[in-house]
Amino acid sequence: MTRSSKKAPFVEERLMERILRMNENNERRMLKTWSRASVIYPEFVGHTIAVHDGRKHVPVYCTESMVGHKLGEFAPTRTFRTHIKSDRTARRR
Amino acid sequence: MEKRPPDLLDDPVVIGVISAAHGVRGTIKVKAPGSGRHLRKGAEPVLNGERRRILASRQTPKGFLIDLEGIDDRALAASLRGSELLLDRAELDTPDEEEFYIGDLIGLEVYDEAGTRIGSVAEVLETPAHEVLIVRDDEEAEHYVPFTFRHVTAVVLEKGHVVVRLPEMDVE
Repeated sequence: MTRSSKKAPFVEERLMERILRMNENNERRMLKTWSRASVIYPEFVGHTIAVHDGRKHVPVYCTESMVGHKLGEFAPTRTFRTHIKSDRTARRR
Repeated sequence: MEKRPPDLLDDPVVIGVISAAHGVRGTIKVKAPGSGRHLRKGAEPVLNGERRRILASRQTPKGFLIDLEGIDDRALAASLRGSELLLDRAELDTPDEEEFYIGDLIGLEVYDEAGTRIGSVAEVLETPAHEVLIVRDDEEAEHYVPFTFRHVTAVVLEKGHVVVRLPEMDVE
């Protein structure tokens, strides 16, 4: 069953408060959170949030295209590690 | 796993791993660790110490189906399971602007904007949002730096270093 539309998308209250406070003061510091279920609001854009993946906090830099998704989607809980040197690439965004 | 031929390649890079035989004409199924951009027709990767030209290549949801020169029956193709297709680092395509081979990033020295050495890139973590550089300092502590313009201000491969802006933590 979907969440009632009369409620806004879920976000941990304390996380939102901290983001709003930083926006008021025009600050950009990394926040640690365990709340993977919190939805990314437009207020989060430009902030870096360290999302817990069960073992460590993975920094997630929020962009406009991530609004509406949940924080947990960007911090995978399973990582495949390989030591072979391959042609994988990384793009600076 | 096959031993890599050190005499043939200076800096071997894996472009694919053979996972199975496909069909009866020697086609092989290959899993690409990266995008698979080098698994294309005409490329000549090293397989078990021998150069073999790729005669045909097509991408499927489960990997690449490749016809290699000199491999034309199923039994031979099946015997290659687990073997790696290698190219030399110098043979790889030049990446796009702001795109870097992960193998090139690992080991780079990491400095902050004031020029203080933080450590070196130990690993690159791939996340759906962006890659994350795992920087290990001299005390073996790990720092996670998002691979974004905001946090990584410069990547200088020629000098072997990156300049980062470590995210400041909000303590509450």
